[in-house]
Order: sequence, then C-alpha cells, then structure tokens
Amino acid sequence: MLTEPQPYAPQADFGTPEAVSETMVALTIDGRRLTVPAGTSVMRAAALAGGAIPRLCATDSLAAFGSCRLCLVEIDGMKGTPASCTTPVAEGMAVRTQTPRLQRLRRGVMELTISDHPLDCLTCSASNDCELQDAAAQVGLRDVRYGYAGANHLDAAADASNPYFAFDPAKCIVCSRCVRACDEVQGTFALTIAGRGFDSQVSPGGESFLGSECVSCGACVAACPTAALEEKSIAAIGKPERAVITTCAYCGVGCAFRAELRGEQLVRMVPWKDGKANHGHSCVKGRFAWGYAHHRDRITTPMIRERIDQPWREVGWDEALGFAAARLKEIKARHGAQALGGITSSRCTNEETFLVQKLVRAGFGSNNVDTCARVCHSPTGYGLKATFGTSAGTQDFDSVMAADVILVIGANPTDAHPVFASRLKQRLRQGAKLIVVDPRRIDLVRSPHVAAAHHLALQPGTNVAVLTAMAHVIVTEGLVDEGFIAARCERDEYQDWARFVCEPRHSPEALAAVTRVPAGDLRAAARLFASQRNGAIYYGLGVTEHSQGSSTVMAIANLAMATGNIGRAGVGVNPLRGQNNVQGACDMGSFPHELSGYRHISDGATRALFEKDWGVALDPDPGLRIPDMLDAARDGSFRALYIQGEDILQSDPDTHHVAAGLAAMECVIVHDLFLNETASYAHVFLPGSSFLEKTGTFTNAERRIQMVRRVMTPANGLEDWEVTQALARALGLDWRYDSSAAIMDEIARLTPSFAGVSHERLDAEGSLQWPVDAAHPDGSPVMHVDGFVPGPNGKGRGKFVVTDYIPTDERTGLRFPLLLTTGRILSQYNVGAQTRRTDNSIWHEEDLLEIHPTDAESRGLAEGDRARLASRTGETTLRVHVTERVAPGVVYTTFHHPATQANVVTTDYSDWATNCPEYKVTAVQVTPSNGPSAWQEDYADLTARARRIAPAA
Amino acid sequence: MANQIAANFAIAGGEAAARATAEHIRQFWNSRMIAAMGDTSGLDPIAAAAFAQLRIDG
Repeated sequence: MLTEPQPYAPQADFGTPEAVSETMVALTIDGRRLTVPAGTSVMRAAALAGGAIPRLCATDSLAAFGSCRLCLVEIDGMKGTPASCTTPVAEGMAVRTQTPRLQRLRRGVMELTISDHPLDCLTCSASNDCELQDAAAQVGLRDVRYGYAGANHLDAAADASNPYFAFDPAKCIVCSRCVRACDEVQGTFALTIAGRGFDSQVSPGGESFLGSECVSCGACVAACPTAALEEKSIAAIGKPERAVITTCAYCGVGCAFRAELRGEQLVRMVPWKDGKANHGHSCVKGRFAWGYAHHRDRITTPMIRERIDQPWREVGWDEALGFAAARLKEIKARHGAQALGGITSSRCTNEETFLVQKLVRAGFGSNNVDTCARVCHSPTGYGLKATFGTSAGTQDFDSVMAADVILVIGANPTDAHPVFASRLKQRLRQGAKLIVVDPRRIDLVRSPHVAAAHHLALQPGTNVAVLTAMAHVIVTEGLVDEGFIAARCERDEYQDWARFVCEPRHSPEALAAVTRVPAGDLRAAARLFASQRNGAIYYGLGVTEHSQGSSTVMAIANLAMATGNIGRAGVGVNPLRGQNNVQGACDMGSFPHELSGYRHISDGATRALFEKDWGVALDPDPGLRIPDMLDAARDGSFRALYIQGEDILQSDPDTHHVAAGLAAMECVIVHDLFLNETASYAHVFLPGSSFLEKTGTFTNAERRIQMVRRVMTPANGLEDWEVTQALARALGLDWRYDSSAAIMDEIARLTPSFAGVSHERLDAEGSLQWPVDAAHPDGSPVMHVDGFVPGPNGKGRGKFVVTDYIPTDERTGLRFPLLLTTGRILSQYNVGAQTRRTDNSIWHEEDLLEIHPTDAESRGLAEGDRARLASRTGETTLRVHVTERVAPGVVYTTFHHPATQANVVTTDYSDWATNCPEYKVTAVQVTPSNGPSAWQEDYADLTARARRIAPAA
Repeated sequence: MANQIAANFAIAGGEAAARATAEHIRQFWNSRMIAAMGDTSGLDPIAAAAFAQLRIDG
C-alpha cells in the first residue's frame, strides 16, 4: 500500500537493469538457491535474493559498466574474480560473494578511492545517505594505508551555477554514473569524463553546469552515489525523514515522484522508480520547479469586491462564499440559469474537475461548462471519437520501445514532454527511424546520436495537405495493409477515402505548392512509414491548434488504420497532452455537450443515470463553449463565471476579446493559487491548494490514472474540492463528500470506463489505465486490441473520414507577410504561473521571437533587438533571437510571460469542429521597436490597479 | 463558424454535406445560438440548407 507515508529510505537499487526473458535460470548464491530470468546479472540476482554485493559504479537505471572493481565475486569453475555486474547468471552457477580473497581485494579498492576523498562524513550533506559510506562499511574499511598526504582533488572548486544542484568534484569518485545517466537515461550527452588517469574529472563539456548543454533533468543527481552531485535543498535542510508517492502536476506525461519531507517541509522531489509513466526519470520542472507552492505571491485568504475597479477586501471563507452565492442566485433569478457557467481545470484533479462540472449542471442548472482542453486537445476528442470510437490515445508510453518508425508531427517532445522524449530517444538510438513534420527544426531533427530520416518542414497550416499527400503515396503505391482494413474497418468508408486520396490533386507534387515540402522527401517519408513493421504516430498542439485541427487528427487516424498500425505495442496514435490532467478533464465531462465518459448530453438514458444519482433534472441542450460564453457576456445573456485553476486571459487567444467578455460579467469567481491575469476581472477570489496539498487523481496522456497525495496542510486551509463543495453548499446544494475518494466512487458509479477505479485500488496497484471495466478488469495499456471501441452503431469498426484540405482564412499579405507560430520551451510551463515563480526563470527570463537570419536582416534586426510584433488583431513587443531553426517567412515565440502576451497578437480563428483556437498560424509583421507597446504599458498599469488589496480595517 | 463547418463537410456533396453540417451543429451548439442565427440566407448554401433542416427538425 502506498497510502501511508513511508519512513525515508533510499529507493531499492538492484545494481543492474531488470532482464526480461521467458527462460529461467537456476543458480546458487552463498549456498542459497534461486531462479531468475536469463540475462540477469549475478549482482542483480544476489540483490533479488536479499543480499548486497558492495558496488560503486553500478545502479539499476544504467547498463553495467564494470569499472569500480568492488563487486567482485568468486564463481565455481571460473578463473579469477569476475565483476558481478557484468557477469550474467548461468544454469547451475555457484557464486560466493564473501571470501577472504574478495574481502582483501575490495578493501584495496576502497583504500584507493578513499585516499582521495574527504573524511568529513559527519558534516557531509550526504551523511547516512551515501553509497560510498555504505560500501566502506560493507568492506570493513578501517584504515587507508596510503595516508592522505598524497596528490588529491580535495581542493577542487565546486560548481554551484545550477540553481537546484551543486557539483563538488572533491566528493566525486569518477564512477561515471552521472555521465552514463545523462547519455543513457536523459539522452542529452552533456557530461563527459575529461582528462585521463589521475586527472579524470566529470565535466559538462568544459563549461559550468549552467553554461553547458545540461537540461537540469536531475538524472545525474539521482545516479550519483556520493554528495558530488546533490540537490542544494539537502545541504540546506538535511536528510528527509519520510517519503510520499505522488504525481507531477506539470505536463501530460504524468511522472510519479517521491515527495521527500522533513515534517511538512518538502526537501526534494525524486522521480519514483516504480512509476510506470517515467520509470524513475524526470525533467527540470517536476524535479525542481515546485518552489511556486510557497511563493510570496500566493494568496491564501479569500477576497471579494463589489466592482473590479475597487481594491480587493480580505474576508473569511463564509463571507466570500456567501457573497458569491448571493450574486449567483440573484443573477440566476434575474436572467435564468443560462446566464451562469463554469470552467474546469486541466491542472486540477479528476475529482475536482468532476465536481465543478457537477456544480454547473446540477447547481447552476445550465450545461455552460468548458475546460482549458478547449484550447489544446478538443480536436483530439472529436477526431479520435469520429474514427476510433473513443477520445483517447491508443498506447502506453512503453509502447514506443517497440516502434520501428516514429512519426512526430506538430510536437516538440524534448521541450514540452521531456521525460517521454528521453524514452523516444532511447528507441531512436536503438535504431528506430524518425520522421519529423514541423515548420521548425526542433531538437529531435538533429541532436546527439539522434537524427531524423526525414524532416518535412511544412508551411504552418498545411498539416492536412501533408497527411493527405502521404496517404496518396501509400494508397497509390500499394502500401496499404489490406488485411487490417478488411478485418477491422468499415469497407465503404475506406473505399470513399482511398478514392479521395488517390485523386491526382492530392499527390505530393501537386500539393508541394501549398505545403512547401519537396515531393521527393514526402514520398520517401510516406514509404518509410508504411514499410516498417511497427509505425507509431505522436502529435501535439501543432496538430490541434489549427483551423483544421480536428481534420488533422482524423487524417492521422486514417494513416494509422491504412497502414495497420493499431492494436498492439509499438504502433498507434498518441496525442501528447499539454497539461497534467487534460485527459482527465476531458474524461470527467468538462465539455458542454457531454457527460463523463464522452456521452452526449442529449442522450436520455445517460442523463437519466445522472439525474437519478444527483436528484435533479438536467438540461438536454449542449451548453456554451468558452468563446461562446465570452460572446454571450458581451450581448448581456451571460453574466457569471466560476473559473477553477485556469487563466483564460493569458492562455486564450485574442486577449482583447477575452477581456471585453470578462469585463461585461457581473460575477467572476476565480479559484486559483495566484492573482492571475484573469483575476483582474474577478469579483471573488477563492484561494486554491497546490498539488502538494490535496488528494485525488490525475490521468496522463496514456490514460493512466494515478494518485496525487496530500503531503502537507493546504496553505489556504482547504483542498480545492472542499472549496467547490462549500460553494455548492452556500448555493443550497446538500453535498456531503467526506473525501476525494468518495467523489471517485461517484465517478466510477456513473462512468462505465471508470467502473473499476477507486482510490483504494490505486493505492494497492499504483496506477490503472482506462477503460477499467468488466471487459478490461485490470485496465487497458493498449486500446483497440481485438476491435475498435463500439460506437453508437455498435459495430466496433474503424471509420475512415475524408479530410479535405481547406486553407485557413488567416492569410499573409503585404501588411502581414510572416506567419507566427507559438509553443513552449523546456524550463517554462504554459502561462508560466508556476515556473515563472521558480528559479527556472534563469533559463528563460522573457519570451523571445525566433526569426530567420534573412527575415531579420531585411528588417534591420540583430540578435537581442526589441521588435514590434503586429497582427490584424493586436501588437506587442519582444526581443528577437535570430536562428535558422525557423524557415524564412516563419517566426516563433512562446507564451510564458504576461508582459509579452503573445495572445494579444493571435486571432480568434479556430478549429471548424471544436473552436480550438488557431494559435499556430497568425499573419504578422515584425519591425524594429524602441520599447514596450502602448498595450503593454496600459496592461501593466491595469494589473497593478486590479491587484490592489485594501489594508485590513 | 457555420460556413467553416459546411466547408469541411462540402466534400461529401450537397445534401449529405448539409445533413452532416446540421448534425454537427445539433451536437455542439447551444439551441439559443442556433436560434440566434436569424436570417441564414447569406450563408454558404450548404450551411443555409443545414439551418433550414435544423428549423424543420426543431
């Protein structure tokens, strides 16, 4: 069980990686008989049997290295003393791990190591949590014959340039674990061993850690056996006393972490080795960027104000909730239920999200509930439901290790989903082929030991054309998997689709004029994708955030079905979700047209199930989406909005439109950690709780439901679900949940795909991948194994959908000749509310505009110059970064900083099917500028005024 | 928006496209938004036909 906090102990380490084999091998170690899978090392076998052979250079996250010579053993019939880490077990082998000879040899090794290591164990930050100390104890080291006066590295200067960890070469034993972790686990290859012999030293390429290519993932720190590479927080605070398993609240990878604490003070977050999404790996955000949870900007007291031009007034919970409830009731009485709505958050738990949509549907009486997935992955929901019958990615992350060709389209995993990217790169280094479809030359296209076979640098906005052209090649050249289609898909729809893609106007040659992708490259990429045994497609917001986002998702699904790449490991369609709980927020019924489990609100039988459970009648009419709510606010028919954990003013497109809609409302309730940008327009502020302060579940991009566990008392006093419940009770609803587990029980009762999910089961099993139902009692790592999920027609067959390329209405012209596309970088996250309040800002202090050298030169712009970025919608200013990563005619920026507000520039064009904004294509002009735009100055002034808090009376 | 939906279904051809457009709007639009469309004669013919169907079906 993982529920109870565990006393602190290092995570189990079996020395070498697990071997997977159906062949079992029997051997004896120190007279004890055991059976292990073939390929297991002697070291691991001994550890599995409960022993511990001394070791320094071995750890089970890395391949055996055999360099420290401490793990020597004797094996009957073998000469000498082989290293147990590099010796595989053999049938009948008899191993001795402790003999006088071994003891003598090991002591000799330790003496040499310790002769160049400080003996400051008592004051060392790794004291009592150090593998070198353990090894010294294990070998019985009592003296060092060589003394300490000889040459040594004890005065070597430490490198504290990284904000989160320090490197102290004096404590380094040059075991290479850090270098190998950077290579094998993270795949960045930033570290090396410089020098030879006695001069050998770990080096980030001759630079400081901060100045090097290091991405601060923490893999080297986790692998270090001593205090040489260690979190600064350990030096500052001390050794943790307990550990709680929880789930990261950043991206959709959903890494499992051990929160290691002293009392309620978080000492460090360490990736959990048994986490099935991350297998013990992490990135700079989840590993280190959690300081925001106690940042001074955090608001922990409820606040209210009559009008948004007044300062905030701090009040108690009862007064704030009473004020909010009275306003909501009054608006409902005057304007009807349709004037009220809510927004759920992809950052909050499933339980919290479910409660917010329940509050809107059952309490407010409308279906005006939407979620931030509207602006990221709503096209995934639409597109995969239309083709596969259900709105979710088909694989688990481990599946990538069986892929032979990987198509990455509109995703930049090394920045946005770094822990998955590390797995992907592991597979690429094993020889899988890579195709990148992206307007930018993202890092995956070429980085150490990884090179894409093809990079199709398409014109932004032409995804559908590129995918249709690939389909054209696959169908016309006879590369289709006919057997799969006959067995698994609707025949007529396939034939309609095949006829469509075969039309000459869809050939790569014909479409090159719009896509700007050379036809030869596209043909080669299509052939490569169709010719390998297992082809997997990974995509991100570069697919969905377009006027044809949903069409692109369906085109991807078509391609996967046409090539038979569905229903087994190594294949599939994999949406890389932006936020930690995008999948969950969608699953939980956050969209205005559907209840949890993707069932349409107009479906009487589903509605009846909820009506009976909740004891209220539900409106069968789909509610308003976020942009519709904002439009309705401006025409006076929508007046009150409860927003949990989302900053629509910064994250949604066309800031002016969002601001005007919010300003027109009479009751905006913001429930968040910080006074975010949206709160400038709020009347009620309800303080939120961080992921460290509440219990619930997140569902990651592989449909994996994992526990988030409360490790400290909420600074505001309440978990977020308790705040929503209190608001519901203030409105007169008789909600009586005594825990978030009770909310999950209700979700399971009302949602077929969650039927077998409970906190109790998650505590026992670690995680579950939905559907968890009678047909899949233990969950579903891979979907559509024997057939597609049966849709409303009940057939369970894949549906090909014809996707016609229709250019966006957003066009470049004389005034706006460049195309702007937006994205994220590694160290910052989304609107930056969290990461900007951590030391991660050292890597990215401001949003920069990437521009090609030729475009920069023709505008007289040099690296670092401030430029004006203008579109038909608005303008802002920011500094330029001149780079060939972007093609001529394309510029790129991030949206992490409110002072830049890239969304002042983006338009309100959106996906035809789901309204998902077209963030990825905006026609712009870039010109030199002297300073901030008038908008930026006005906005700075507005937020300063809107954030005033009245002094206590 | 309605024109954009119609354009994406247009490949299915006249009547089928109008049916698909109408069904899409029925699934995802609030009924007040449909009612608020008012005179739809200025829309793309497929979108206009879709709204005509939606009105007949109520």
